Amino acid sequence: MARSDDVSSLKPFLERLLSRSKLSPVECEAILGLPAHERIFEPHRDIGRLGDNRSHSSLVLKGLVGRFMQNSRGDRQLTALHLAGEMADLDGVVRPDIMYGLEALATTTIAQVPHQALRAMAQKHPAIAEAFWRESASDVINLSRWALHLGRGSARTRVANLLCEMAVRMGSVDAPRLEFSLPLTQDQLSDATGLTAVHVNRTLKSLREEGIVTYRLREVRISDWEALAVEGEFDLSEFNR
Amino acid sequence: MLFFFHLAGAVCDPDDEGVELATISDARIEAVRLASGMLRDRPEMVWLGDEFRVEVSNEDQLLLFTFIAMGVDTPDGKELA
Repeated sequence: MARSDDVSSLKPFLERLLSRSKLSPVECEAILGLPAHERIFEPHRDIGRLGDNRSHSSLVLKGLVGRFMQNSRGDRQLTALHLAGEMADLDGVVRPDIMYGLEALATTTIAQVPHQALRAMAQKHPAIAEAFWRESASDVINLSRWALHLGRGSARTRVANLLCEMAVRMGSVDAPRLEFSLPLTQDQLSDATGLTAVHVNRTLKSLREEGIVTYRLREVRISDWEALAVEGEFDLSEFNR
Repeated sequence: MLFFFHLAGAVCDPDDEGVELATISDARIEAVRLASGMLRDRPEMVWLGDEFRVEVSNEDQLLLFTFIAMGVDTPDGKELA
């Protein structure tokens, strides 16, 4: 494990917090001063195993992380995707025995931030505690939407909603990114949408043939954002909170 | 092995991409899962007057097996419809 004293590694996390919360210069400095240990994970490696008792939270600096649960047959269900700048398991600060696992979906750089430091900072700065709370609320909103579509949504809705979510999170609510890399394998896309690989292929094919979106060689190109949002039953207001 | 999962009957949609699976047994299971997923989204397909088929072929376009789902009315049921 390499230690990094480069405070800038926390900068993407600070920017993410500031996009939702107001923090004073002192509070911003406190976040930038958090200890961070950088590690690189190859694709398909578990960053945090199921049932691990963790002592740190994982900030994604580069790459893509999947949060997952797994049943007794070994089938995985991805329950969230985490992009650069996001703390994948911030809730671990108060629940270090967190049950879900984290997997590097691409070559991923993680800054491991000790729970102890995060907890001490939140206790000292109530505004930071509230910002963390807001991050967790955002996670719950995303998870609730995934649960809705996994339980009730059609294949088209699931796939389209996932692509809409990524477009907004990589861009913004006002300007979703219409072209981006999403380095998911066929199996990982299946694990995210709860569909078989063949069904995912069919769904992407139909969306492509209708001129809505193409997803090939792990590159997404959205041709018709409005149509994709309708197919995905995607509600932008969920991302304004 | 590369397998192609073509839709035929009530919905006609050939598969030109295919999916890598280890064995033909895996392909059989995948065909049923695909059918169940598609019927979950559109259960009315089995009542369109034609059967819903998943036809699976290999790289040589050799048809290996077919999974069929269909709804059948009895004469009494037709009268009441």
